[in-house]
Amino acid sequence: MNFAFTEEQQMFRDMFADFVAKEVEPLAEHISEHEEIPKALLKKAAMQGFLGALLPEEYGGAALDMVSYILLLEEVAKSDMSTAMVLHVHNDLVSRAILLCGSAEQKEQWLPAMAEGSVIGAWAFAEPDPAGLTNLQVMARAADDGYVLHGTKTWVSNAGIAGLMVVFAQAPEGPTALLVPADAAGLKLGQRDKTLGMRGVQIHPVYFNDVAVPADAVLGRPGDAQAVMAAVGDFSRLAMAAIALGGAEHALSLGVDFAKERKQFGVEIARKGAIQAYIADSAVEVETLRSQVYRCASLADQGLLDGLSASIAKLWANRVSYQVANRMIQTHGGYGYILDYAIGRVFRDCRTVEGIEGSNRTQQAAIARSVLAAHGFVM
Amino acid sequence: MRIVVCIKQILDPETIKVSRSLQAIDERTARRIMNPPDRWALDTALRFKDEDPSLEVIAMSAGRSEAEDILREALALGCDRAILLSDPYIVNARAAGLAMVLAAAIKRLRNVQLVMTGYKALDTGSGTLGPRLAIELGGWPLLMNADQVRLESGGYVSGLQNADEKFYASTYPLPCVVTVLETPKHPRYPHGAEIMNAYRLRSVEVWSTAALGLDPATLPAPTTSRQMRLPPPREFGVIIEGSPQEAARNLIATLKARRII
Amino acid sequence: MDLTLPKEYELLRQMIRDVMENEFAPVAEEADEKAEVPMEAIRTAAKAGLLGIPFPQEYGGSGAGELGYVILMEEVSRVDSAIATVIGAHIGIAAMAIYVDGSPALKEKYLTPLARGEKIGAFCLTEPGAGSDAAAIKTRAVRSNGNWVINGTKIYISNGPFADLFSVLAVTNPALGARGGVTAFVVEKEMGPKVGVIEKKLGIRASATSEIIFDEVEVPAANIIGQEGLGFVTFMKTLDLGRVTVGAASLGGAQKALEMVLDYARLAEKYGMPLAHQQQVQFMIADMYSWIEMLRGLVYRTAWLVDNKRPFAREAYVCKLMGSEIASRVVSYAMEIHGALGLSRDYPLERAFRDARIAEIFEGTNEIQRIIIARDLLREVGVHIEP
Repeated sequence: MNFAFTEEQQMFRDMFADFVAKEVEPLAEHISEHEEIPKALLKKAAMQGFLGALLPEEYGGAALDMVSYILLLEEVAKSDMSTAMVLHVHNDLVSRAILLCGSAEQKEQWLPAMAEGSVIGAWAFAEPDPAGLTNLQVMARAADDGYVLHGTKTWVSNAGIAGLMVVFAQAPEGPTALLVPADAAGLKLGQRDKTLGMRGVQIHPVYFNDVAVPADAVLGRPGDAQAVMAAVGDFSRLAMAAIALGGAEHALSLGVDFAKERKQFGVEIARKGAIQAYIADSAVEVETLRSQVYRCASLADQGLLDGLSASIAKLWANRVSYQVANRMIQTHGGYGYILDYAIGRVFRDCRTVEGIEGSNRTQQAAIARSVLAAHGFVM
Repeated sequence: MRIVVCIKQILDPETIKVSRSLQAIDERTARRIMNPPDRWALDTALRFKDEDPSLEVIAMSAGRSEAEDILREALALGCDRAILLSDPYIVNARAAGLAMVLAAAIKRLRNVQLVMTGYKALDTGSGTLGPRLAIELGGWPLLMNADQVRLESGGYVSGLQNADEKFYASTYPLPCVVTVLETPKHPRYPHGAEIMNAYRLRSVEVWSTAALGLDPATLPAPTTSRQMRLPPPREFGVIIEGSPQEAARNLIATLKARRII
Repeated sequence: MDLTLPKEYELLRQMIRDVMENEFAPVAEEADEKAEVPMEAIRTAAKAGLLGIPFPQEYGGSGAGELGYVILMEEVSRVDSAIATVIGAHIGIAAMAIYVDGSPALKEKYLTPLARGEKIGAFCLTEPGAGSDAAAIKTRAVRSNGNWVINGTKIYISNGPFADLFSVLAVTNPALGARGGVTAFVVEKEMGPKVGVIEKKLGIRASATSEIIFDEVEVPAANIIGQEGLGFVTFMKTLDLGRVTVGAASLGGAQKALEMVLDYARLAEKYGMPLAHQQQVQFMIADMYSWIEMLRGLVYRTAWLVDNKRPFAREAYVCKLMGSEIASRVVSYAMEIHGALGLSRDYPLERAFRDARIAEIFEGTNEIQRIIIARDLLREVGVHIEP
């Protein structure tokens, strides 16, 4: 067992941290306030290779290993969880799905553009009545040369900046993933979804009003959207956990910095037992989350990441990010509630993690199912 | 001059649940409120009093002793007096008997020039109290289903009377019975202090049929309900399948077969 | 032991609920987004007596006591916790300070317009170096020609930007400190206090919070609340009462979140099963209800202690501590059950979540509440501790 980073991973991490300190941190408040990520920032991220992080060099990508990529998300999230979220949807959902399931033509058409940042990816999965792949309400009717899409997708992250969407729809062959350009005729964005946190992510409902899609836009095989989900699913929960880890670390460092300075009853509050307990419990949770996230990333590099480990990471990330941010905003007292201090934003962002890609209950159900199955009890 | 506003206590339609075991509305969980159209009538009368403080507004309700609460509410809203008509006959009486008792009470209060109430009660919904009162009071004019009711100088009352989905500007001489439409604007709120005083300092007068000089034996017989049943469930409709063109053809064929068209 | 609510209080509750649902609920989302106090609705509320519910009628109040005040805060917060902050700062601390220790003449002059809602009050205690440590205030009042001249800066003053009257704590004798050297004053806006920075807040954004700057503000000696030197006691008594209603406001916020969950769980399906049939959701609902009922019992019992002139300070600390934590937990559960919908700013739960969070912080952080409860209990067994 080896828990150390390679020299390369260490180098990447320093580079990420450097980029974040220079380019992301100064904009974090602006992003939250204006509820969008400046185009210039995405351009700079593209120049660093962050928008093709997981793609091979032949497509203009940075070909990061999974551990390094997780470090990228974590470092970005330490300053701004919105930006990390945009990277996550673009990289490890959309471009990775194309890389793993797409045809040679699809890869050629989309991946270089995604790597250079001229096309941003969005993931159109959720629907007004969530029922998973088994009961998709967006229909892909068979047409002369492909399909016609009709229906509504909700909570499409990156919809407002996307050039390409992966759309899950019910085709005659079964649930099918399709690559749909965001400017396709008949595709319309609904009103922006305003959210508690991660306000830089442009989330919209997307309406498909008889959008014609050619047959060669099918990602993978028709009727086999499950394969696309399986290709990215476990890793995407891990990516969310990495973002939560960055958020929790950020919250902890803000709380610690505040506690060192703030005096009450003549002494720094960092000397008080109750505050020390908050810091200690938070540190324990952050470190155990970190262990699980890094272990999962290492498994992913070996092709061994399993759903149970990813769900454990996501459930723990949901809880830790919120609990840590909650203790640290409390540590700030009245200052935490005032938006001049970053902890308020981090608190909102951390609370938002749970609502994305699987609530506590969803993860509990998945974890319980795996554990019971391992003990011979199949639901 | 006196204005009497007849108000009714009803079960809040939003809180009504039908109890399976009791085979009736579960009165333990339902909230009792002042019938909202009556509250609007009360608000209209109190607006007249705002303009002319010499007017005396009297709230009157006939029913069970629990109705005292809406009379206290009426006092809190600014009524001068509150009268509850209650005895075993009144508790079980229906519209015809109640109108007679209310009319007797109004006659006993001298100098009543205006009687107001809501256009209907949201529980029974019959809307007959106004017309019945006009008859029982000896043929007073009736301004029915009225909006924008105003007291005019020289002893008249005017309003926009709703009939056949049109509004007619109408004016009647006093004494007059007016039933008031519910309007979307929220009526006045009682002041917190008046709420406290309505219970702590003020009182609700209680009158019985006997005190009004009426003999229940000569009044319309009271009714009691023996059983309540839900209507039978409706049959499930027919879903017409096929492409829009086929479905339309099938729909027309079905409607013709059933002699609907 | 009669635990039924007298009927006048039921009607009072109904009236407050009507005012909140008709006047405040329709504007709550916009007020939060724009961070604006809905003044027109506040004026309507004032006309119905909502800004003076607990005070005697002789001073323009409703005479409904602490019980009425608890009902008020519960019902207001059920619709909009930010408004509970506006009303709580006005009644619960600014006007209450005058009520608890002011002379009859001072009450006549200042409590009456406050209770009638003709004037809005703010309570000026917190300073940059004195948050939970209230005794560390630096604002100074110096005697001059029979008047007092106040200098200093107060921060995080709820209602600060639009208040007409300020209850202010200032040091009058630095040598004596909190024990005899601190005095409470009523200061009129016209006497010169200035509004400083208006804060942007995480939640309760339909309330307004600012600095209040006293720069050579001259106040007549007659405006001292109670006795010179005893202002710290006045303010602490006031805060004791305020804590009860933080619990009441938390109760209302939690109650609303539970109502929203029951409504949602009945209708929403996830993975082919109505949420109401999922056992994790059922357990969460059961926990939410249980906490709320415990809190309800605590808050109303404490109000009874106040109205019956029994000691209540320790219970008040528990009201604030448990109330704020229960409300945060209940609203957080409600968000979890609502999933992505709970995060949407188009749905009131997200606002309730941000709003509920303040109660663990303001009027003394929960850490301070714990310190004081523990110190109080330990003193009874002979252990004396400093904070």
